[in-house]
Amino acid sequence: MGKINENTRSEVKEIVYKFFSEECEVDVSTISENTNIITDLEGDSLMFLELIEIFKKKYSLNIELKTIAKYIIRHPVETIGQLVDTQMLMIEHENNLVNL
Amino acid sequence: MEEVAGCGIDIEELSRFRTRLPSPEGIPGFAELVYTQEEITSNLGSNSDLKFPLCFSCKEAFFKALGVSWMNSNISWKEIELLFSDNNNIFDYKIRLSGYARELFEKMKCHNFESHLEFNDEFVVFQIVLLS
Repeated sequence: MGKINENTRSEVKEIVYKFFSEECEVDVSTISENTNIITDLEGDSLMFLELIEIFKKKYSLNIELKTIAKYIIRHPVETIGQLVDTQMLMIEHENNLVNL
Repeated sequence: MEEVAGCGIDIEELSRFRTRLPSPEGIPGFAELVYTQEEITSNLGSNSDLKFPLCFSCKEAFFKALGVSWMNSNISWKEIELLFSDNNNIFDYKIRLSGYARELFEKMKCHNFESHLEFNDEFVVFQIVLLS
């Protein structure tokens, strides 16, 4: 825990936007917090898993996929904004995410 | 008489897996999230560039047949395994369920399933039909 600083949110946002821009072959300027990952970007499991892996590596996170899945059941991620929020919580709480 | 309890079909583009394939040199983090050690061991070798995408596609198809996803159920990717028996025969494989995947399969009163795979140079397709 405690890996968050004042720059973390903008870092996370940049990674997420760049990732979907490249994966979905769209201009990053067309992506916003309200962009729906499935309906607007045709996001799929492969993208979600790859993104999780990127963040696990970058922030050396101790978090299991099952923990993330259990959290997402209660807090669905549909938009880019919600995804950024969830990634922030993953970084801050790691496996304790399931207790939120 | 058998009834269809669920059906799932998945298609994957092979090019998306190029940088995500396990190899004798190492296992990408993505692969560790999705494949069991037994899958990695049995699928390494000849045709691994087909086997791993087929493995992923099989898991997705099974999730769909069960009517859930990894994001809205307790089922882990590793509880649905596709293991190829023969290095040279893509069509010789078995699918194994465990944990919550097995639990949901039985809760749906399924006793068997049928599977079918197809592939070409660009895509793999997997279909699962659950029978009760």
